[in-house]
Amino acid sequence: MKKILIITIAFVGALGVYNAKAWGHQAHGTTAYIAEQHLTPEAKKKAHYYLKHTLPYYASWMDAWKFSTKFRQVNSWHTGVAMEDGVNYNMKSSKFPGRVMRHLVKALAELGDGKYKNLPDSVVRQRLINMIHYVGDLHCPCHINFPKETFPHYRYSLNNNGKRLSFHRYWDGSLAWQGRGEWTYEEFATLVDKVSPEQVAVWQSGTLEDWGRDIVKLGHRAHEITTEGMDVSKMTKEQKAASIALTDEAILMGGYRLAYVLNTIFSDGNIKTYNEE
Amino acid sequence: MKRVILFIAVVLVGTGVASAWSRVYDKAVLEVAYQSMDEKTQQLVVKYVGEDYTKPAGHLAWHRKNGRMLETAGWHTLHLDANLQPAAKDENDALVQTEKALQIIRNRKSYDNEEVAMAIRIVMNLVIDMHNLSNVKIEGIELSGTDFKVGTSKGTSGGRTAKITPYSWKSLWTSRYNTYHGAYSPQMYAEDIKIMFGNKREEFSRGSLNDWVHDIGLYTKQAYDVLEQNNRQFLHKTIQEHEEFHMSCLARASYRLAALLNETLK
Repeated sequence: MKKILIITIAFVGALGVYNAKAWGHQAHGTTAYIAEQHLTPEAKKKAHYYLKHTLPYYASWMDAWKFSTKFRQVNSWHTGVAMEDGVNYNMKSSKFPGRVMRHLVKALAELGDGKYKNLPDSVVRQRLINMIHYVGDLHCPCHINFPKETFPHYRYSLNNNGKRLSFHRYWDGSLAWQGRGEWTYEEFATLVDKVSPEQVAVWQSGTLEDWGRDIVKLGHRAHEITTEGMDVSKMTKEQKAASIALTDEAILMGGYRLAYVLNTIFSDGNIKTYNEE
Repeated sequence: MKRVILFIAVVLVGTGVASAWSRVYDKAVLEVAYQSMDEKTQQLVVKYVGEDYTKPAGHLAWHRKNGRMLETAGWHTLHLDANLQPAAKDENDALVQTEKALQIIRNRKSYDNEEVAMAIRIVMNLVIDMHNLSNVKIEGIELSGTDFKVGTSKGTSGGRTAKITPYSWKSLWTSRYNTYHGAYSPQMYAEDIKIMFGNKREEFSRGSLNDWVHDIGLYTKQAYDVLEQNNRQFLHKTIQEHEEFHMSCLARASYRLAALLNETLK
């Protein structure tokens, strides 16, 4: 009997993994879809040339491959860390988990200013695949970690109807928790992408350092909305609305910025990392 | 005890396979096929099956679910001999039923509209089905059908060893590759199929239905051989490497379906 139970649990677990709707799949794909809609014709043509696919197709490629031995190092390239002041993004952290921004900076240095033209197509393709994922992960509200020295109160869990639920798990799968787990990318774009040109200009301006500060703010908002021990099955109308607003903003901000990154690269420009450069 | 375990496994695998993902693939194939048809063929398809030309996706399964057309349950399997030539022993075969439906379409003036419409829906369903590797049965190859079990992963994630989980051959080719594209619509898949394989349209649709069936047998055998070489355990890496191959099956089905309907509806 015990054997049956173990087999059943293993099976259910396996199916759960395949059916999971985490930020990693749905939100990543949606972010990439938003970006695809706002590429210049030139950038779209070049992106499709290198990728041989649309942007959303590769949005979760890094998640799909991180289980393979040769790619295990990419498992730590998905999150970032805030500075101790809780305002700035740690742009130079060489330790886990501060790597996603470092790799975006590295990829921009390799591809920007027209340098992509001097690289083999396969290298450009791989960098693009990674960048699609980096920009999505950068904007996920739970992919910014806060130093435990200055933010010990940010280390907590939530609960779902009495069962422990990690803060990370809620925000990774926030679209599904918000009842939008079955939405297609097109539905999200049609219903949610109503961003004004002024707002887009604000999001796409500045340096990566500036973008990092926005991302730190997204992280703080997530902690303000889902506080320690909160039962996510009993959220108030206001809390649900705040949760939806944050998810939407993170996806849209990421999507418009990814479009900007690719439009810039394919018009032979680059994005500055620091304001002091 | 074994029966209980088998029952649980069948129920759970069945649940996974019955998810809507495979229907997304079906609709994507119909979308690309429609876009690849001649204008006249498009008009006739709309005339017979309606404005929503992707609606026939899963039509036979839908009927069976509602207790009708139960005789179609075995039609989706493609039987091949060891030389990868058609080897149907009876009418429960995708190729046999496709050819019968094509005859009705060719002689459509002798049939009423609903019979022609049903024949078109059958061709749409079965051309898609025969390009799903889990529906191909090759003589002499043990377990090349729906009950082939494979391991899915071996490696590490975050320093932890990833589990090797049981998985069925059918689930692998029916729904596994949608795992990371869960919110993809048929139109999104169609877009990707065209970007990836648009330049191979002629190559894929060249030849006869029998040539295509042989081709399907070849790449089923190739995938099976990879599995055998890996002691019937697909590593995660191998599964990922087969994703483009899986997409090519969708593309082949799309362009071949368009070619078939162009030829028979002309």
